[in-house]
Amino acid sequence: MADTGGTRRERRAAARAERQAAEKAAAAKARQRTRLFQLGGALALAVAVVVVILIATSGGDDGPTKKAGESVAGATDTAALLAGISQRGAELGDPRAPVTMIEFGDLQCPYCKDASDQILPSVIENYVRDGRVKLIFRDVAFLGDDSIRAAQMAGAAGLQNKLWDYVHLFYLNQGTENTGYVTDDFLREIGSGVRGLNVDRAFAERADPQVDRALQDAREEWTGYGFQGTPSFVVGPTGGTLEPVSTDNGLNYEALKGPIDRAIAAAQER
Amino acid sequence: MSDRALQRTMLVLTLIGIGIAGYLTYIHYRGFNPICAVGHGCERVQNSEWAKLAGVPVPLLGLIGYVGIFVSLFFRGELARMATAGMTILGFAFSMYLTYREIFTIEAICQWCVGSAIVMTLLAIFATLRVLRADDDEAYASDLAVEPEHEPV
Repeated sequence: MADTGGTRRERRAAARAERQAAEKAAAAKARQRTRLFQLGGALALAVAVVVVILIATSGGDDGPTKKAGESVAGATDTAALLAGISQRGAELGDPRAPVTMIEFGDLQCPYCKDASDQILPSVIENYVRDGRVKLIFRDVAFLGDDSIRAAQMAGAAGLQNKLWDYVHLFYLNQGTENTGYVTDDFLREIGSGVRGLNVDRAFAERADPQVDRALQDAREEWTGYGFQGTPSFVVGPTGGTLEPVSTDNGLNYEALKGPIDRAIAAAQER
Repeated sequence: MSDRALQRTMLVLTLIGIGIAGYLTYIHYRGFNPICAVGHGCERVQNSEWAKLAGVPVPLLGLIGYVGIFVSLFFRGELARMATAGMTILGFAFSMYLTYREIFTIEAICQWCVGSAIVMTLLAIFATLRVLRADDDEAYASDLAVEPEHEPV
């Protein structure tokens, strides 16, 4: 009897354990399903947030967009920035300005584009327009064949005193480095956006010895200062010794403003 | 890896994330450029228009996120784990967005941002594991053990 009762109790205990295990497993499965559902929800929410951010912040990543009446995107901005400022070859501003600043750049260099788009307009508005500073662009064209083709066309535009227009508009429409995007069509397109530039004449004058010499001189001058990258700047009294601008703390307007102000102050004391 | 080990690993990763985001936030407000091992990628990324979201510097958003994750790791229970997972998953998705901007829009790579993206990815993986393995947690198992037994009538 005892054996039978004990066996029954054992069977009941075993059945209970089995049932509890099954309930536990079912509960665990349900909890896991809930967790997966919640994690999926969190992921969906995160993706939705990113998609909203992506949509809200897109539009500025496809380069400049053409405004009404523009043949090239940014042409109006370039014309407005440089309107009324004299140009002579690679120089921008009053030839008798007390201070000279030279930019060594490459038309393919993305950092030069940043400088041209975001920093130099303030320098031009605050220092060049009022005749205190003269800017000179030296194209060192060291990044590849696209750089050389672009530099030759910019140099040829300089023979028509339109180098700064061409350079600024080129930077606004700059493509991806060394992808072969600087084709004749591209150069013509940029040229067509520069008001007053005879594009056919510039095209023909790309091979002018003056253009070639300017490129060689720019590189020699650049290496002479010990620079290895672009954009690099030197500033100082016109006709005097120009000193390299330090960009150790990054290139921004303040990095150029300080040396320019000091050069202007020094020029006034002379 | 036990839950405790996962939690400790996440604490260390979060501290690394706070360090990166804190450094980038500090130099943003001081006007410095980040120390960059290769080229000017960091400088370009930090000075780009994508370095802010609705006027708030992205490193500051990262710092807030990492601090939130750090604090959540000190709480116990399913809700805390889910909160950690939610924040890390959001952080992971945002890191992917920033990496996309770096590669395809800015076309420059910032090592600090890549480092943060890796940290956030690991945090998201570990936080998800913690949620899915909650039943293996000893504390949770002990809670289950005290469930009242009941005899069939």
